[in-house]
Amino acid sequence: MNYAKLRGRVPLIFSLGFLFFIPLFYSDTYTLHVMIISFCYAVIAMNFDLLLGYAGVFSCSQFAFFSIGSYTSAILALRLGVSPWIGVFAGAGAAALAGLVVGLLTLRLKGFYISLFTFAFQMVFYSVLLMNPYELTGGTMGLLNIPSFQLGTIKFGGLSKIPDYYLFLFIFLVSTFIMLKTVGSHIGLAFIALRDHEEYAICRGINPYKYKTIAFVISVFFTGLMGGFYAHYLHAVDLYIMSWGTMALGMTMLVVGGIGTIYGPIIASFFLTFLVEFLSGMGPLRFILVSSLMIVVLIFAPSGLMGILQRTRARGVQQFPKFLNSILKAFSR
Amino acid sequence: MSFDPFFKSLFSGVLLGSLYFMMATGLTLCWGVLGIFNFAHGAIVMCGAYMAYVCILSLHLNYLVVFALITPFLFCLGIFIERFIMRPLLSQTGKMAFTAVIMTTLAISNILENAVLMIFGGRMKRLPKMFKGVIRLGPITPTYDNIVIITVSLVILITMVVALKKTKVGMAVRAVEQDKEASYLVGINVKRVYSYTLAISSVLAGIAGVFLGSIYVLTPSMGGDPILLSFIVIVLGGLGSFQGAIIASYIVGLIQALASLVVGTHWARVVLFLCLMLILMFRPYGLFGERVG
Repeated sequence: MNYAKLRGRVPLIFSLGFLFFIPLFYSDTYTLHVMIISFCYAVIAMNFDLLLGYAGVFSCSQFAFFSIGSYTSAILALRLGVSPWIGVFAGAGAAALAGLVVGLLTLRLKGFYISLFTFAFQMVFYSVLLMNPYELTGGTMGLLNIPSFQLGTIKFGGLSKIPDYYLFLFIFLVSTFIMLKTVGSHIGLAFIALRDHEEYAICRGINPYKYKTIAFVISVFFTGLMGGFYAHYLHAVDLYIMSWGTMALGMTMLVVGGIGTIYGPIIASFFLTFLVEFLSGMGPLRFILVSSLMIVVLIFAPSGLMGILQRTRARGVQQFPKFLNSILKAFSR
Repeated sequence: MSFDPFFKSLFSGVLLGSLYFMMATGLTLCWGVLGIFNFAHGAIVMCGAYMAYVCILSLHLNYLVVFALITPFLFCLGIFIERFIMRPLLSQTGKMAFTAVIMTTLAISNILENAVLMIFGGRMKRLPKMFKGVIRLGPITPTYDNIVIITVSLVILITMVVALKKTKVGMAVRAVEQDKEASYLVGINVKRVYSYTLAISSVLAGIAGVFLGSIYVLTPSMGGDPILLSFIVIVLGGLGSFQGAIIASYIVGLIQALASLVVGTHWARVVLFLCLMLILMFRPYGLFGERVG
């Protein structure tokens, strides 16, 4: 590896080291808990980004698949006593299967109908869970006392959050790695081709239906997997995760970070999770702030954080006022 | 004797259809003219209901005065959303412009819901009845309120049809719907037409919200349920098709009422979702929409 390549990787290596060594310096339970939730949101936002930013499919039901993962795993553990390690993969499989069905039904349609259909899917799935069929899902109360992971003598879900932290960090890294590999492979290139010019991509022999379904299933699999881990970590699942507030939060992460840049949503999800936790005394007002932030970013800097970074790097810092200029321009249209 | 529940659900189907019609008209106009899909419509329905709640329970006003008061407010809300949020977004040209608009309407909906939650709290609220008493019409016993809702929705229907056909603004709306560039050429102020469209759709949604609140209960998330059904309505009717929306809203209302009779209120939503799925699979352009793909 030559010097230039190494220099390009410095931020990555630095942030990885930072993530690895946080518990050694800062093992405060609350901070670690917020970090774990951030990992969770980071995986959700990243998979959302794979779907929207790379395959160009706007699905409104990512959190429904997250809930499929967590509810399946929780029900398996509570009813059948299945080990959580198997349960989370069963949950992810269930989410992927549901995603396959939804994908096969919708992805032939035009972009806008997909968002509509997935939106309807999420709302109906919410009401089905709320109705508590066969006393399985617990209705508004959700499911409680979900067992936590256990690996030999290491006990997860205790007062010390350090094992959980490393578990979630591991899943986060695996998910990121697979995401980067997918995007870099020929499948990822097909996604980008379809997003940028669908007709031309079809002429070059890319089957849009097939590749969009692949993107959907991959994205939904990891979202569901994270859902399972989330349920076993918190020992409880409820319907709150499918509310509008959470959905808007997830989308804000994507928008603030920059759609179509994997690192952007990851950074934004850490930033926003900490922000929302920091403002938790404000009640509903924080969701108003988060949604307003999303609208402001969409209007004034639609390419998000990563877009701004790339632009400043390309132009050099002295031309930064141009960005401020564009803010003034946006309102004079 | 044994057909009584059937007639009752037929009537409630017509009632629901009237409500959905008021909501779906605004949505379908928005789609036709602006080319956007307004997910914030449900939140505006909810806002209308809460505005009426404030007027009636704090200011002790008559329902007629309430409608006269909240209409300009809703109109201004629509214009505000168009001017300061939609217009900068619609003038962006990029791959993600359409997605950005959908996300923004979801964010607006979230903002409005949380604002109402902050001001009024999450507890259920009720609007008083407009008129007391029922009429007996054979097997069905509609209340005066129900008659008022159906009548008002018919009046709105006729007004909309006449306004779109005869008035200058209405013709401008139809012109923009058909061809935006050509409308610019003949001197129509397209941006103002956008403003008017969103304002009118907000007014209709708010009025529907008041009626909805007088039948059911008021919660900050009350807009979610009817909005899903309005989506089904405008997809069934064909996006942007006004006649389609009229007919489809009554069809959806009837399906919902009959499904509630057969499988229960909660599963009726699932039945409607299956209907949406079938429509999207076999006729994604709806009953009356133009075939797009």
